[in-house]
Amino acid sequence: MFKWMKMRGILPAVFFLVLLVVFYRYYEVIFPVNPKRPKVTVILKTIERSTSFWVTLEQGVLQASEDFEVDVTIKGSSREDDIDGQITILFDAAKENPDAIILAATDFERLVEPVLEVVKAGIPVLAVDSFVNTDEVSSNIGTANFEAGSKLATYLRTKLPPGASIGILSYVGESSTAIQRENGVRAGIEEEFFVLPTLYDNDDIELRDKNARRLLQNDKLDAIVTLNEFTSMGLLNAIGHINSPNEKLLFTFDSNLEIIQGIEDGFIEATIVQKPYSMGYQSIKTAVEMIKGSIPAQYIDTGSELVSRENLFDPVIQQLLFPTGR
Amino acid sequence: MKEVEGRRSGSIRSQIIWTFGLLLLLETLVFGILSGNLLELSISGTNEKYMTEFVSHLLRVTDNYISNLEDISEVVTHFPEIREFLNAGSAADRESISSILYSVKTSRSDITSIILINSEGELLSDSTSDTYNLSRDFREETWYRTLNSQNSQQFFLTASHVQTLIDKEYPWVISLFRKVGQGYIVVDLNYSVIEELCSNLDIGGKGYIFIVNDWGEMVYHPRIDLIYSDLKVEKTDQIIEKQSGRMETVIGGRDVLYTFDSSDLTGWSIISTAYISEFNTNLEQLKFFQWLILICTMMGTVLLGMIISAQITHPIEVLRSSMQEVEKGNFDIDISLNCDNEVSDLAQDCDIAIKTIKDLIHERVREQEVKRKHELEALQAQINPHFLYNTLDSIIWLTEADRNDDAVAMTEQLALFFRLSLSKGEEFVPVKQILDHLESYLSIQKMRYKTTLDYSIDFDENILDLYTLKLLIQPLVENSIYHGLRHRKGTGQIWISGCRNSDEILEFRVEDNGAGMDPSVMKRINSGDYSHFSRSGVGIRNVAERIQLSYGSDPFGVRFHERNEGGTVAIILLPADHYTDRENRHV
Repeated sequence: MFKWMKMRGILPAVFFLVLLVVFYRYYEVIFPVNPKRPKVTVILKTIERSTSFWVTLEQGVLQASEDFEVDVTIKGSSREDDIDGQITILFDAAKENPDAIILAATDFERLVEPVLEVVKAGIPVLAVDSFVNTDEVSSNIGTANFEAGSKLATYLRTKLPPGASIGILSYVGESSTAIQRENGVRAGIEEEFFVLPTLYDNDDIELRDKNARRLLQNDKLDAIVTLNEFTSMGLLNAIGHINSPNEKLLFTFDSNLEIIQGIEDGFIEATIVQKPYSMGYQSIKTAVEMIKGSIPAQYIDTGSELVSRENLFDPVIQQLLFPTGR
Repeated sequence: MKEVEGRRSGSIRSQIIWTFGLLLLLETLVFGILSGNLLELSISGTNEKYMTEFVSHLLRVTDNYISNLEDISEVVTHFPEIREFLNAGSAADRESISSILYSVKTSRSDITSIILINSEGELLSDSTSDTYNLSRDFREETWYRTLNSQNSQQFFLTASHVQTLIDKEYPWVISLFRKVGQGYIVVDLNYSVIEELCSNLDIGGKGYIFIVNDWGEMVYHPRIDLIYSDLKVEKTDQIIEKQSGRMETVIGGRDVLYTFDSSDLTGWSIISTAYISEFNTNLEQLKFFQWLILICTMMGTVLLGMIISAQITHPIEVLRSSMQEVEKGNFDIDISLNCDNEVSDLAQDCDIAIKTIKDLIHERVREQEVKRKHELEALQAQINPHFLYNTLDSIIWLTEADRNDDAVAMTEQLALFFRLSLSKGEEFVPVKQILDHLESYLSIQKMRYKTTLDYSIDFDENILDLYTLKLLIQPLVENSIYHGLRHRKGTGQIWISGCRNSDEILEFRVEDNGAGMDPSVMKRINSGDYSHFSRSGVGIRNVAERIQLSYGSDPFGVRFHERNEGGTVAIILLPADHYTDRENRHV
């Protein structure tokens, strides 16, 4: 009939080819890609849920674990200052050989060695919220604290005339977040204002309250800036104790009901809210993407918002201030 | 002749396979693509219809739900205390109003709180322990302005928001504001009912439902936290613009299908979000199996076609190669096919034909052999030693008697006799030559027997050019001389004649007036039995058999009769033809 028909076996070859094409086209239908769910261990500073920050962060983690189909184990020592406890938990977690460990470090320096050891063992470590002083961490997910600090400073400048005196209440001088926040604030105001030496409380309640009272009783001071929820609460406590009208402008960090009330009532000018939900969610998301092979960014800024009376009732802000908790 | 090497492009088998194979392939492809598309159309059509109905149903349910809540707020206004509070103010009994509100609230699980606001701006909730947040003027709120605007609505429904009217409480609710007289009723809803409505209905895979109001604010979204954290974005603008319908878009890098509808009552749009890849999975599976079945059927059919065509063409090929063997001259083959169809019948016929041909060839070869043998015998008979001795004796005697002329004549006749006997090896000779041969033979015999032998030869002129077998008549003449005339006293007479008996038959007669033949012997000879013949009788048998071999029997052959006047008549009947070619003579 035709010349090309002389090639014997071309017909079976064509059929085979068609079959091959069909199999290739529908490969994923027949053999659905059903990869093993990645195992991720999240080690937070504490399993105590006294502040809404960790509750919300955990919600973000859980939501992401559902969305990205990850098996998540959440661990942490009972106290936030139990650094040795966290190191032990980190080593224990590494023994279970998860695909990744997400760590909210209790100490910027002391966790460097343990993290290096775990990374060396082949388990990638991601840092969330509080970082560790090493480049061996795959990704750092959290608030860009310097930017958050300068955001607060920018707002402060609109509220005070140049030359005003400002006091800063910080928590742990060695903490990376504290340092960056302070630097952010100082960079924004130091040129125009007189800034007192920063007072640190080292997470000690008595020292915190003492520091707060000291600044409140300083008549020459026009404004006080606190750098985390703990110090902010110290300030609010001190105001309650002093029981005298406060004419100083207060700028805080983080939020809780009392701080929000303070803003609503007008005795706190503004506070910086972080996005713990986003931190939790993005830490898992980044870990999953990394497990699947992509190289994550070294720093992922989860953002922060400045909350004042003006935007207190914006839905986005409300969402940050009052986690739905659903 | 073409080489037969396996399957050729033009062979029946490859034609069958190719034609049907290509036809099937075409059909499979066309059918596969067509039905795949039809499948897709019908499934997506069904899906589309299902989704649209689903969303509009959900919309009706939420409408009912909201009007139900409106009714509750209506019921509340029928209490005179409440009416009084809303219009006049502080005079009313706050505690009893609170307890009414509380009982209404607790009758339903989805109401977070009921708050009354009177014309004086005083607030009253379902709990007497509540204090009210007065740091924010509700007259600046959207709901207040909307309810007091020109085209005022019956009620105002918020999106998902934090209720801030009550001090130190920040619940996430959906609020229904309603103006009653100079005051307002606020009913705060938690999400329980809406969430149940939206999340309990399975729309397949990871699909979900969310609700936005006509301002584009989220009323309900299962991932509201992600929306507010900017980790997820829904394309609400286009939905609000279109009010109802369908839209394909990309959310978070995945293709999704929005199916949505809006309510005039609530101003809400309900959007179902389905991941296209997910609802395509079933379709893909269906399509795959359809293709698989098609291809398997196709392969099976082609395989079957190959087998069937092989069953048809294999016997033909066997037959063909057998016939080629036959063409080469090998008749010793057995064509037997292991099948039971038309081709095997054909093969059987061929087999029979070949065997017949084989038999014929054998027959022919045998005949030729016999003929050669008889020819040789005839020649041998001619070189009858007695005849030769006697003739040579006569020649010697004539020479001694100085009758040289006679001796020369006799020698000449003898030479002529032998030359004509041999006749250059030709089997068929003209009648004229037969005549000459007889003349030379009889003249020699005449010289020997002188007066005791007399003869006459009378051949018709018109038969002299015809051809016939040589050495047929001479043996009969010799027979007459040796057996008929030799023992007779007086002159032995021989009459030889030749004529056309009819158009086709040539007749020679040899008559003698000799002793005659024993009737029983004659009878036997005429019936073809030559068994009791002496050596000289071989001549007659030879003649009879040669005629039979060359022309067949009846009417041809040699027959003896008794002559009326005494003696014997031998009649030879032969075909009258002009051919010398031996092959054609068989006709």
